[in-house]
Amino acid sequence: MNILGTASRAGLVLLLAGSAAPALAGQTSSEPVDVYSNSSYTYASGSIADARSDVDPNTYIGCQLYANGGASGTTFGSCFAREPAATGGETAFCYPDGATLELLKTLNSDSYIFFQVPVDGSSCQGLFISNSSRYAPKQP
Amino acid sequence: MNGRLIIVATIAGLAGFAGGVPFGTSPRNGAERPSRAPVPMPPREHPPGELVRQIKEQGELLAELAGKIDRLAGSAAGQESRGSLSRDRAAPAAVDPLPDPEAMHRAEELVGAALGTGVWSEHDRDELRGLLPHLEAARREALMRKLIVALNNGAMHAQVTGPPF
Repeated sequence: MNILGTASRAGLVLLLAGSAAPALAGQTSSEPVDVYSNSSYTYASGSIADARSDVDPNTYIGCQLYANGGASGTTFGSCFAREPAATGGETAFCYPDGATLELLKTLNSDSYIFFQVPVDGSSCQGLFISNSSRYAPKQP
Repeated sequence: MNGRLIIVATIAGLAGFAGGVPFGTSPRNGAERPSRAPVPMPPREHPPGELVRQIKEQGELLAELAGKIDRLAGSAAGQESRGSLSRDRAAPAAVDPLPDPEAMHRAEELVGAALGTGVWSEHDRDELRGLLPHLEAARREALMRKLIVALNNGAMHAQVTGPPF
């Protein structure tokens, strides 16, 4: 009885000590790929790392740049996303130009990407790229 | 060494010129027309003293150049590489790839065929990637627009692993 009582007290002390310890992690968020459409736009969002670690091997999100050679070679790009089959398996694509094309240069392998494209168009509108500690780093 | 030979040759040549036959005459001419009045000589622009002074100056300049050549000869390899660098710099700027009408035609054909079947395959993607750099910008945008709209509205399905472009 005494042994049980001592163990209970010790457990309580450990529990309290554990709850008082400071958190050893910053703010994090999970951003699986999501594609959504309405009558005007198709939207796509997600982090590159979460797309890569998704259980559905067909899931992806990203953007890429192309460049022509030559003295004033032009640069152009594309963005693309496919959500997991579990949430519909929808796809979205867009063609960045102007400022959105410039923004692509800030993309890295841990970025979060959001873009929207009009249903009757192809230009990326509202391209948003976020590089933040909140997003998981891409795993091998 | 070569520089010194050049100097000696130049000095000898100039000295011969200065101390030789007067302008406008030659031993041959003189022999052929002994009875004629002497051919008028052009006025001497430089008196002999002045000529000697100029020869000396030329000699000094040549000696200086010869010294420079000797010093630079020691770094011939570096000179060579610098020479090729300057040749590279002088090369004309890279020429922009001109839009290729055949590539444009093929790209439009590719997208048109995919629109017909409703499928955008990996083969289509790979071929388009090869064509894209050769397309005129405005027409490339129009083509991509057609492709993207079709993919987004479901008129065409991308059967590819990874990005469709």
